[in-house]
Formats: sequence, C-alpha cells, structure tokens
Amino acid sequence: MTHAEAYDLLGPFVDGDLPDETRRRLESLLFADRDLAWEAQTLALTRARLREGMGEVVASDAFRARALARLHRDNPHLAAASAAAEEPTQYQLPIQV
Amino acid sequence: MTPQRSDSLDLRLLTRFREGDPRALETLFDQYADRALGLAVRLTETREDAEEVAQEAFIRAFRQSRQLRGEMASFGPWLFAIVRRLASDKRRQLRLPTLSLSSSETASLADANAADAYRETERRAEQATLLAALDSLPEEWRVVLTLCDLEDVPHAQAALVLGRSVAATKSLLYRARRALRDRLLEIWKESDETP
Repeated sequence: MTHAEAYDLLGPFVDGDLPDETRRRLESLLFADRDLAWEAQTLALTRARLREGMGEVVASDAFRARALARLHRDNPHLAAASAAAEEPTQYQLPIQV
Repeated sequence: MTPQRSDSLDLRLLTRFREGDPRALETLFDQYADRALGLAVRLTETREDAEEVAQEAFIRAFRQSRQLRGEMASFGPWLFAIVRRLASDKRRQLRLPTLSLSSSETASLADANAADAYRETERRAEQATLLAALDSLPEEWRVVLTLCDLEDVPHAQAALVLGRSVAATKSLLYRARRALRDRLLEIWKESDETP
C-alpha cells in the first residue's frame, strides 16, 4: 500500500468502513508514518468534536404542535377519511336476518 | 434500522397517508422532525427561520407525495433536499451568513451558577468555534457534514439529497472533514496569537 493509497483510505478508516484485512494493513502503516497517523487522528477528532460539540437539535413541542396543525389543514383528505371511519359501526356490519 | 428497511417503512406510511390515515402523517413527521430541523438550523440564520423552513419542507414533501404517488422512492432524502433548497432561498433573501448564538441563549448564561456558568461558557465557546468553522465552508460541504456526521443520515440517503453517487458523497464527506479540521486549526491558531 502506497502513502497515497493509505491517505485515500483514511476517510473510510475513520468511519469504520474498511474490511478487516485492509484496516490491519493501514493500521500497521499508521504506526510507521507519523504524518499519516496525525492525519487519521485529527480527522477522527474533528468528527468526534462535531458530534459532541454542536449539540443535538430537538424539535420543541410548540414547533411539533404548530407544524402538525398546519399539515393537517393542508391535507383535508385525512379529516375526511377520519370522519368516515367514525361513522356508526352498525352501518358497516352485515345484518343477519 | 437499515436504510432499506427505513425506506420500505416510509413507503408503507406514505401509502397509508395517501389513503387518508392521519397517524401515517404523524409518524413520518415524528420520524424526521428532529433531523429536518437539525439540517435547517445548520443552514439558516435563526431558529425561527429554521422552524419556518422545516415546516414548509414538510408541507411540500407531503403535497408532492400526494401528487407523485409511486414516484417518491423514500421520504427522508426528498424532505432533506427540500429543506436544503428552502434554506438556500431563505439565505439568499436575507443575504446573511449562517448561524450565530442567539441573544436569548447568551442571556440565559447569567442565570446559571458560577461553576455551571463557566462550563457552559466553555461549551458555548467551543460550539461557537465549530459553528464559525462550519459556516466558513461551502454549502455542499456543510450539508454533507450535517447529514452524515450530525444527523446520522446514511450515506446512501445523503447521496440522494446531494444528487451524487454514494462513492462521490463519501469522498465529499472526507474532503469536508479535512476542510473543517483545517479551518478549526486556523481559528485556534488565530486565537492563540491574539494577545
């Protein structure tokens, strides 16, 4: 594996996407090449920082309620179907004579 | 859940939505609300803009699903692509850069006790640095980082949003991570050099 090939594999390596054999070969190169090791380590740290540092975005209850109300208004076919389903069940049952 | 299983569930929910089942709409909304809003937050200036963009994206996605019927292969990538387009329109209208910490967030710091406030200040400084670095990247790089690294959207779905192959999307993601790292290093270097 050349340095350029190893460099190209660092992205999949950080994501854990490499097959075992390729990963092992890359890891042995990382022990021998400080620049490559720095590259791998800083990419993994950047990914981790981004995940941990940015905080999770959670939709608030107010947003959920507002958006759902708007979506229901925009989809009147849902109300029509719900109303039909709520009709008295005796009209739907087979009548035994 | 694998992308394939998620797509298949989405398609069943979309069919039930078209047939008039309100629970199908609510389930799809619940499934994607946080991620759609997350993407909108990273691509717009304020939380209000992000909520407006996310809500409008849901409205358009459900409208299109009624019109297109079998042509919508999966809901998530479709929705994220609409979020991306609307956020881009919103930024063009405003001609503003993306994201900053809102004044209400900053003001709430004063309410915490001293130790908590110190930790919170550090956390927000770190977040501000990340935001500044992310904001300095081209839009497509911000989108791929947000989808793949922040919202855990599978590469295959991110590829649909970006209109690229899966391999090209992964390559874009790795370039974007390198660019983000280099920008963070520049920012930290600049702050170290500031007296």
